[in-house]
Amino acid sequence: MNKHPLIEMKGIYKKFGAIEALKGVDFIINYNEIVGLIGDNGAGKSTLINILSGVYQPDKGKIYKEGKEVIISSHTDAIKLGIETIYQNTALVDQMSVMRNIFLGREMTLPFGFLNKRDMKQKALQILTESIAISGIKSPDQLVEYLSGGQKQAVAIARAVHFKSQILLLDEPTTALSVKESRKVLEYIKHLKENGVSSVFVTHNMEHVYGIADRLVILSRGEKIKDVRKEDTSLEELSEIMISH
Amino acid sequence: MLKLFKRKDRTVITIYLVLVILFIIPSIISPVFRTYRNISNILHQAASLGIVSVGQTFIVLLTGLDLSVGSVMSLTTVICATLMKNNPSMIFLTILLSLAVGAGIGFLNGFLVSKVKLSPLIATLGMMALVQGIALRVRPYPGGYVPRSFGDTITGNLFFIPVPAIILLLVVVAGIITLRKTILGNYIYATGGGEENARLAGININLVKISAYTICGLIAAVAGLVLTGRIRSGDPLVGTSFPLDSITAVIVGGTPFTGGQGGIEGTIAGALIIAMLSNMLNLLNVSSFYQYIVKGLILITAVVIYSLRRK
Repeated sequence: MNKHPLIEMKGIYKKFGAIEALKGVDFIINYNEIVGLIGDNGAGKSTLINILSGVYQPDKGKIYKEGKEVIISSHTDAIKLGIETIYQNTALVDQMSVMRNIFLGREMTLPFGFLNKRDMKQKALQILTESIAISGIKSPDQLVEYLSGGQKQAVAIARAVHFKSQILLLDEPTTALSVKESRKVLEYIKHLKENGVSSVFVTHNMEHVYGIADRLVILSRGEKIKDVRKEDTSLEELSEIMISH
Repeated sequence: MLKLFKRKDRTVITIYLVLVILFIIPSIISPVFRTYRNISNILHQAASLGIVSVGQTFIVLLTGLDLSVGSVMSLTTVICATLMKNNPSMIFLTILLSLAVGAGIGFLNGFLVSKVKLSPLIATLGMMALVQGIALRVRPYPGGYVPRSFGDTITGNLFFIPVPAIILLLVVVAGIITLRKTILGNYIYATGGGEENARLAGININLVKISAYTICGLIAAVAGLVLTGRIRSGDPLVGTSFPLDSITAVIVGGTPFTGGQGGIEGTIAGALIIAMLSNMLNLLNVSSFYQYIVKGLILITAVVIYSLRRK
């Protein structure tokens, strides 16, 4: 086993104007792990995720991937490091087909910039049949605007996984979904963990993440106030901490 | 029957049905309309509009618009009527220069829209005035000399097909291939459909916009060359009506101002509809200000119909 964690963020500090969004936070993601990142609005969890996905740069602090220091100065940098962010409203283009969305920005091409539609379609079909959560999508040519919220999430996740992401950052993934759909997405994330994909699940709703998380991290006003493995705590204890802060 | 087709195909089919109906009815009523001479005339008129509308489609797909295309066309006629001499190499060089100027103006539009972050309306409005000014400075009144050989080639026929129609066809085919089959086309649809999401997918939005505006400027210059062949002189104001007409052609053709869907297939029908209506109104001796009223009504009606359908 590797002696370094998959991702290690050390002493991350970020200020927006006069507001200290993060006051020196340490955050670790291990191999094959689902981390629940919990906190109220304004606790700093989105800032932390945005730093890891290259949207913001920290004012102070370092980021290591597998023990090596990395600088993530753009979204593209993050993707290159295998870190993919799944947004609440899923960064898919509604008027385009499922296939074109899966390959958006990473198209298979022939010479002279022509799209290799045949191979992309074949791959897209394979992705659709292999990922368990994407049920009900009949064809890769279907337009994304006709998919349900859960199907869109699943397509976004399947896209990330297909392109070898090691770490999924899920920002409030279940907020916009029905109960049934969010359960499917959660199952999918669990299934991915067994295949070596770690996830960070950001939410302000502890019940959503408690079921699948291996470790829970609570942020409050820019500071980490709890970092605990699930077997060492309970939902009651965590709720207590959330309320008292 | 239309239910058999996908929604986007239905829009294109509907617009072609309108086109066919608009062709059949006057053909029955008017013996003049259905003559080879008149139809060839329509194609000549439709060619420059059709060509420039192809470029305009690239921009509307990106939720933008290009008001400078008319000035580019005027400037092209002025450049040709000033520099073309009656020898093949000068004609060739002038054509190249015109295309380069058109592409350069388009590039500047793209730069202003993407890097300087001006709204397309402001950027291309400014460019429209600027290029118009240059055309008027070079040639305040219509005139100049366009070699017969150039004019005759552009307005001639090839196997009974008017050369402008052939140029139009080539531009249309190249445009459709670019938008539907290449990575650039894919990025134009993605950027128009959801700019932020396209950016998150790692697409260089600025490069996509600059490419599209450059292509639009280049195509406007091609349209200007075809127009030069027809009017056989340099006219600094000849392109004035083309921004409105080309935007109307794109919208009537089913590409909405919200971008990301539609395409050149519909635009061409839109351009032919406008050219045919103009021709009919000319045959009926309707004066040109009524033609503007008709075009305005078509544009507004098309937008109303499409927005009702999308609800």
